Amino acid sequence: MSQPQTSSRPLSPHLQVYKPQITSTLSILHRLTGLWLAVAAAVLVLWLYGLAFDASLFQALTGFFSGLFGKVLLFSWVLAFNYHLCNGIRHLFWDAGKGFELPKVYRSGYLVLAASLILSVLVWLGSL
Amino acid sequence: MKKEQMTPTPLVQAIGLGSAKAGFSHWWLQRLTAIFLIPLGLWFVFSLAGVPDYSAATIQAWLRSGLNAFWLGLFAVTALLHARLGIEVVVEDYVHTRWLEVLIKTLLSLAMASAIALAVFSILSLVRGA
Ligand code: HEM
Repeated sequence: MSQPQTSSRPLSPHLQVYKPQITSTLSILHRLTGLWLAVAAAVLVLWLYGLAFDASLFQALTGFFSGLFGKVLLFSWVLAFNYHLCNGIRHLFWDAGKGFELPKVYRSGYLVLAASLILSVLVWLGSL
Repeated sequence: MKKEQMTPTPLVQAIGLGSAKAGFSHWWLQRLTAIFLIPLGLWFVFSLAGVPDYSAATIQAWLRSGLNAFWLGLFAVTALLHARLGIEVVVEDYVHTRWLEVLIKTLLSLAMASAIALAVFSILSLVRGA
C-alpha cells in the first residue's frame, strides 16, 4: 500500500493506453456515472437544505434547473442513475460468481444499455 | 512469470494473516447499500419525476404526505454512504501518494458525514413544518 509504484502487483488499467472495447467502456462508465451521481446527491442535499432553511438558495436552484441547461443536467442524472443501477445489478451477479463467460458478459452488457435507455424514457414520460 | 508478478496471492503468503477485516466490511457495505438503493432509488427517481411541479409548497406537501419523508431520508443516507464507499475505492485506485490519499479520504468522510447530517436535519425540520 505504501509504495505501489515500486511493486510489481497489477495496477488499474491505464486508460490513456488501453484500447476501448464495449466491455471496458461499460466498465469505466460505471465508475463515471457513480461519480456523477455523487454530485447529484450533493445537489439534492443542498436543495433540501434550501427548502428547509434558505429560500434564496432554493430559488436559485429552482431557477437553474428549470432552464434548458439545468434540464439537460437533470436528464443526464436520470440516464446516469439508470445505467449505474442496471450495470450495478450486473456487478452484483458477477459478485455472486454468475455470468462471467465472455458471451454472457457481452449479452448482459447490451441488455444493461437497452434497459437503462428504456427506464430513462419511462422516467421522462412520467415527468410530463 | 516471476512469483511476485502473479495476480493471486499465493496461498502460503495469505495463510496466518487472518481475514481481510476492514477490507471485507467495506466491500460488503458497498454491496449492501447497492441492494438497498435498487428499490429506494427507483422510488426516488419516479416519485420526483411524477410531482406536478417543483415549487416549495408542492415539495413540502409531497414530503408531508404518507411516509415520503421517511423514504427520502433513507434514500439520501444510503446513497451518500454508498457514494462515500465508492469514491474511496476510486481514490485508492488513482492516488498513489499515501499522505494525499489519507487527506482526501479524511476530507471525504467529513464531507459525507456533514451531508448526511444536513439531509436528515433538513428533512426532519420540513416534516415538522418549522
Ligand atoms: C443513487 C446513487 C448512487 C450513487 C451516488 C452511486 C455511486 C457509486 C460510486 C461513486 C461508485 C464507485 C465506482 C467505482 O468504484 O468504480 C459506485 C460503485 C458501485 N455501485 Fe453505485 N451509486 C449509486 C447507486 C447504485 C445502485 C442503485 C446500485 C444498484 C445495484 C449500485 C451499485 C454499485 C456497485 C455494485 C458498485 C461497485 C462497482 C465495482 O465493484 O467497481 N449503485 N457507486
